[in-house]
Order: sequence, then structure tokens, then C-alpha cells
Amino acid sequence: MSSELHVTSLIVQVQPERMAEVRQKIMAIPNAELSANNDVKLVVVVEGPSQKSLMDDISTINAIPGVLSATMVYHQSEELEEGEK
Amino acid sequence: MKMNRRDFMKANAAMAAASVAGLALPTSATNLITSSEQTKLEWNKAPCRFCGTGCSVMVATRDGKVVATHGDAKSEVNRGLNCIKGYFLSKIMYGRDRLQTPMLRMTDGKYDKHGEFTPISWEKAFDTMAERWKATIKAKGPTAVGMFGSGQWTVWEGYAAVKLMKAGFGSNNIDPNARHCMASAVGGFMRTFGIDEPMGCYDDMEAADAFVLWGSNMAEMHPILWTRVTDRRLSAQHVKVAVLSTFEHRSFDLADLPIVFTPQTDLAILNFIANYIIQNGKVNKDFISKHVNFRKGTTDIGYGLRPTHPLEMKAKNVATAGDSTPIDFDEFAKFVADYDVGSVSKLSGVPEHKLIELAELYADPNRKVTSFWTMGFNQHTRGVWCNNLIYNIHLLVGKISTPGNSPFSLTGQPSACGTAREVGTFSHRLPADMVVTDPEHRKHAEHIWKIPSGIIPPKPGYHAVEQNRRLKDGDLNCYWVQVNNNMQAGPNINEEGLPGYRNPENFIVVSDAYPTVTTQAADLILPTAMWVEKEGAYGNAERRTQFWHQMVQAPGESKSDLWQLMEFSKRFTTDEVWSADVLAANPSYKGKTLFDVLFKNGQVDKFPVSDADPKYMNAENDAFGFYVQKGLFEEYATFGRGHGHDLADFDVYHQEHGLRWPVVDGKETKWRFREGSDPYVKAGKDFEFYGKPDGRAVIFALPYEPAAEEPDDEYDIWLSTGRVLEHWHSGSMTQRVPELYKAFPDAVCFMHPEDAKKRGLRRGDEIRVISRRGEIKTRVETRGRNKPPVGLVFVPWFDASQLINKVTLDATDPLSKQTDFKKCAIKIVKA
Repeated sequence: MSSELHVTSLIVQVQPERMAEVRQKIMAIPNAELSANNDVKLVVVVEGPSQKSLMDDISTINAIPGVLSATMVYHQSEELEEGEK
Repeated sequence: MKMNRRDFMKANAAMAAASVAGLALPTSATNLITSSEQTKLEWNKAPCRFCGTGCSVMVATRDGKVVATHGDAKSEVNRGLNCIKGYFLSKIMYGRDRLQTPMLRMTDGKYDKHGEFTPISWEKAFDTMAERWKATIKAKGPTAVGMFGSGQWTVWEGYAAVKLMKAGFGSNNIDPNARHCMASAVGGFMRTFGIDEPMGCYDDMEAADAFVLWGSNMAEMHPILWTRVTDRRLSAQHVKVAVLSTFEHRSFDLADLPIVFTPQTDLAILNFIANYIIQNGKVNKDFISKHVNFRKGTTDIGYGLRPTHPLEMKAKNVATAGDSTPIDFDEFAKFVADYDVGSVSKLSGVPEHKLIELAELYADPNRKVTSFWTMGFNQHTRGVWCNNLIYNIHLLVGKISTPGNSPFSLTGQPSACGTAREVGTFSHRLPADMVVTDPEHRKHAEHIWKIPSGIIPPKPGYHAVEQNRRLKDGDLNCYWVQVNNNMQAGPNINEEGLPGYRNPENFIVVSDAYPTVTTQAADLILPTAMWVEKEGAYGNAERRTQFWHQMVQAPGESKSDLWQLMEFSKRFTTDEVWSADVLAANPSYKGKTLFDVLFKNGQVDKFPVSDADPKYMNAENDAFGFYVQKGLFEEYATFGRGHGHDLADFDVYHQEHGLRWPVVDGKETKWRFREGSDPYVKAGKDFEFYGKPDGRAVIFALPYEPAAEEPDDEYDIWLSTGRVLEHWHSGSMTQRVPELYKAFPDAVCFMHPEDAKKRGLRRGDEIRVISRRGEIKTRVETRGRNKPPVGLVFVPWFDASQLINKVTLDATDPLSKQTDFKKCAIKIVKA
């Protein structure tokens, strides 16, 4: 059976004094992965089986105290073939 | 290193974001090959069709369908970013309930106002319309036909609509829903500067040392601009952000100076700042002596209600509302002296120290300050005054037209500026800031349009709110609504809107891509092509004109608004719509169709289809046999070229990622009114506000006056309405995207926990929100991202099942005729 894979990347703007706790909270989200960052900005890659699942994770990130904005940059969705991880 | 597909996608995503953010990634992640899937996609640029920011997006088509979008990295506006609405652009055209065929209310095969919607052909649709239009014009004249459009019309659609109404039917009854959004901003610009639209541009955001938001929730409404403000705030420690609103919202997260004030008292706060600047000797005397005049405006001007309303009967100066008399600086200083910190603090509920801190941002000569505002100022019964008063402050300290010093009126719709305002789709306007009341302007327009003199009526037509009232009263009988959902967006729909549409004397036509409450209230529905289903042009809030190509075909029998307008014009001959006198004096026009006169006039049909890029489809060119968009644009551009509104040549815009007008000698203008930056400012002038005959902007003495309706013992709480991030316009497109709908499914009433407790309510309780005009049912929300103070509730307006505009008051600004959706008095009881 085939399944869908959705991937998106976000730029998250963060109050610098809360950067550490924001990073901790994002790392606790199973489908989110931290990428590059500086003291006020983070790149986060989110994956999931549906756009709905991405949206939920984006809402979660947006609601973390200290997050000023979370803006999408890239989105791709693919049908995964059987056996593909 | 070997990557599987998942790793590859994730690396690609991370790289795209990192490059936009200007961050470095480990090299392994950047070493990517081109995906074979990617090469199957055809990518083209288009401005986003949602808000006035004007982000450029890259749109991918595959097999005739839009399948993906991402932010355009080459765009100076959004620099590769995309907000949640833009992210789902690829889905807005593919909702399952897309309208695909004209539908007429019929019983037994005949039109019947009470009949069921029945699919019919375009031919039959236009026949039915033309019959009604002709009979009405014959019986009652051109003031009985009207049109309601929007700032979502493309430039040439708005232009064709104005031409059809004003130059064809000889009726000024055309208005855009931008009236509900931008009319006060236009009024403010015209009154202070004599020319419309901001002098600055988005580049101000990287140059400012302070930002002040006046009644604007940029974080949710203009998220991409907000990321630029946030970037500036976080990258420079001295930068300050002040946010003013009648309730706390998402933008407060970034605020160094958060200010919640009592509704309507913004007028007093603005005058306090002017007073503070004067009292503390911070006036830029050189600037005001060279570039500013002072005037005192008429007061007690009423609330733009029906003339029979008690508030209108009580107001002394309704007829002379726009008048003013010259004064000098000393008289102005005396006028604002009443607005001292103590009394304004008491009136507004804002602590004195916050008012002073705010005033100091403007007063400090070493701080460059940018003010942003949207509906908080504009949807206000003193909206033009608010706009005048913020310009007062910037002018007093000379903080204007230089990078970072910018009073910046943001827009809501994608082409509120480019179409509604610049093209002049208002009941009193003509292209390039001209007005129907000026005989020279009418003459100039008639000359460019090659129509006989006397066709354009000198009297302004019915504005948006007046249109609903006249429909109800039976003075306006044939009415065509395009690109908007007025039955949801207009105020007081219970008493004015719906009775007008369903008045048996009236025939209502609504063009839309999706069913809405407005199509439901119509007699004839026309299915409409949207966004990249047609070639288009929009103009954003910083005067940037952007074009796009048609990329896909519209579904079913859907046609663009442009095709609809032009095709409809073929149904009329001049003899049927123009007076016998005009035709007797101009016999060469006799017997011609309006299509011949308006569109086959040797100008609009000048460019052959072969001028269009053969790579793209163009449904209008196929239908009419000439390059329709180019002809309309070039004719329209003759209005502004040489008059401070210069647009570049048509073909240039298909190459560029937008240009800010005036475009003179191929060069765009970032800051107007300043020597060296704006080619219209004469050498040696330094600054020149050339919209006014003497080159001077006007500082207006205008007082605080109370709101049209304030809470009392019975209706004991303020109601404010507005938008949320996930939904734009009235939700007619965004609610077609399941992910956006799920993110914020139904409107709720945001309320302070104490107000809920006082009324015995808990979060989630069903309540009735009741005004003197109507009521809706909704639910209590005491948490979440909108936090009203005690005494005020906030209800978003996107939800068609909870029409909050049954409750709102149709009080308008007497000058701009724009409705105040931000304040009326209500009561709340448990349902």
C-alpha cells in the first residue's frame, strides 16, 4: 500500500532570551527536526503523513511561548511506494 | 553519502528555508541533485491573490493544474517567504463546490424571483440581464443600474468595469468593497496631500528605529511584513515596537510598548502626541515653515447614517462635513493644548507614562519612526480624521518621505491600491485620482475614452452602504456584484442588505467562483474564472504593480470578470443608453454597440494577439481577437503618465517582479515627495507635496468626538469585529481549503474572563450576541490569541453561519462613507 509523505520547512522567529526553551519544546515534537539557527531564528523541518498533520505541528510551534512567528518556505508531498521508508 | 527520498525532501526543505533565512547549513545538506519530479513542473511567478502585501509566489503547474506554490526568492516583498494563506494558494481553485455554469432563479422554465437556481447558458443569462437593464434604464434612467466590485478585480477588470458603467451606461453607481476597507485612507491622503497612496515603501522597515501600530494586527493580517518588522526589532537592540489596539492580539508578543485603549479615543491620543511635540519644543520648524499649511476642519459632522436617523438630525454640520478654514501654527498649538496627558489618560484608559513614552518615539529627533495602520483607523466614523491626525504628527517633526520615516497605510485586498484606488472604481472617482465632480476631469476622461462630452454624470453615484439602502428603497433596481461577498461583508444586513437584494423590484446578478451568502441572495449567478485562470495585474500597498500570465484553464463554463463585462457590453447600442441630445450632436456614434465604443475604439483593440507570449494561454484574446489586457492597460496608463502616476510599458511588467510607480524613464520610485528620490520634486525644493497646488501638505486641527453608539445600561459592552490569520476576505476562498478551515473552524466571541463570569458564562457556552439591529448565536472563548479587556468583545467575521453583520451598525465616516465595523454596543446572554 502506498502512503503519502509531506515535508515542509519553517523559519521561526524567536525572542532571543527564550531561544533555549523554544528549541527544547520543538525537539519534543516527534515530527519536527531542528536545522540551522542563529540567536533569533530557527529553521525547522516538519514531516508527516498528511497536510493536516503538518498544520497541527505548525500550530503547536506557533503557540510556544517566545515564538514570534513561524513562516513556511517550502512544501513537497510525495506518494511513497511500498517498502519505502 | 546516499540519501533516500525522505532525506532528500527534508534536505531540500531545510536548504530552501536556510537560504531564505540567511543561515548556513552543513555542507552535506547542500550537496543536492535536481529531482526528476521537480523537472516535470512548470514554474511561473504570480502575486498572491489574498492580501494587500503583494507577495510574489512561484506557481507550479502540471498537466493543466496548479499543484504547488512557494515564496518567490527574487521578490523584494516577501524574499522567498509565504504565509499560511499563500501556502495553500494551489488549493483555492479546486474546491468541490466550484460554480461551473450560469444559474438563474426559475419556475417552469421562466425567471422567477422566488424560483430555484437552474443552470442556463451564457447566452440566456446575458439575454435575461440585458432585458432587465434596458427596461430599467428606459423607465428610470442610468441611476437605477449599479455595480459593486472590489480590490480583487485585476487592474484591467476594474478599468473595464468603470468604463462600462461611467462611459457606457452613463452611471456613477459603481463602488468597490474597498469602500469598507480603504476609503478613509484615500480620504486622508487626498485631504492632507492631494494625491493618493503611501509616500514610502516596504524598505522603510529595515531603516526604522521605531514602529507604531495603530489598530493593525500585522502579525496575523500581514504576517510576511511582520516577519520583516520582527527581523528589524531582533537585529537591532535600540529598535522599539509600540502596538495600540482596543484589545490584545498576537502582535502584542513583540511589543515593547503595548497599549490597549478605549474605542474611539485614538483621536485624543493622536492629538495628545501633537501637543506633546509642541510643548516640548520638538517641532521641526524649518520643515513646517517650508512644506506645511495649517487648517481647521468642520466638526459635529454626524455618523453617515440615514438622514432620518436621530443622530443625523442632531448633527449640525452634515452638509459641510469636508470643509475647513486656514489657521496658523499658533492657533493649531492652542487647539491641541486641551489634549494634555492627564485628561487623555483618563479618557483613553492608557496610563500617563505609556502615553508619554509613545509620544517620545515621535518627538525624539534621532529616532526614525514608521507608523502602520489598517482597519482600526479606516473602519471608524472619524476614519479620515484619524488618517489626517497621524500625518499631522509625522509632518510636525518632518519624519516623512525619508527611509524609515513613514506614515504607512497598509491595505487589505491584493489590488485595493492598484485597481480600486488607482483605476478609480469608486462612485466619485475616475482614473489617476480624478473625480467626476470636476468638469475638467470629466472632459479629460471623455477625451481619452473617445466618447462624446456629457456622458459621465457630474454627480457622484451611490457608495457601497448607500447602494444597499437604495436597493431596499427601490431606487436601484439592476445590480451586478463581482469578486466579493457583500452580503456577508456589508454592515447591518438584516435591515438594509438582504431586504435590498430580495426587493421584488430588483434584479441582482452575482459573479463568483464559489457559492456564498451573496450568491444565495442573488437572482442570477455567473461562474467566474479566478487568479491564474486568467492574465492579471494587481497593485499592492507600496505602489508596486505586478503582472501574471494565465497558467491554467478555468473549470466548466467559468469565465473571467473581464470577459463577462466586455461580452455584456455587446448587448447594448448607444441608442438604448445615451440621451437623444448627445446622439444628435454626435451622430457618428449612432447605432454602435457599447462594445464598439468602449473596447473596439482603435485603442483597446490596437495590439494583435501575436503580441502575447505564445507560451501562455489567454482566454480573452481567444474570445475577442486582440490582446485585450495590453490594450486596456495601455489606454488606462495614459491617464497617469506625466501626472505623477506613471506606469511602465505593459510588456515590462511580465519580466519584472513588480515596479513601484511613478515609473519615470524606466526607474521606479521608492520614496515620493523628496528631492533626489522622486522625479516629480523640482530641484532645490528638498521636499514637495505636489498633490497640492502650492506643494504644501496640510496639518488639520480636528477634535475627539464620541462614537456613534457607546455601551449603556442595556447594551452594556463594546463589540469589535475583524479577521483571523487563517481566513481572509469573508472566508469564501480560505474556507475551501480544509486545512485552513480546520485551523479555525467557526467564529467565536473572544471575551475577558471577568465579563464572562459577570454574566454567568463559561468558556464554550453558547450565547446570543444582541444589538439594537439583530443577533447571532456563537460560543464564548475566554482564552486564545485575542484577549479583549473588560468591557469589549471581539467576533471574527468570516463565518457564514454566524453573520456578525446582522449585529453591526451601518454608521459610516461622513467623509469617506466607510463603515465602522469596530465599535457598536451589544449585550450578551446565555442561549
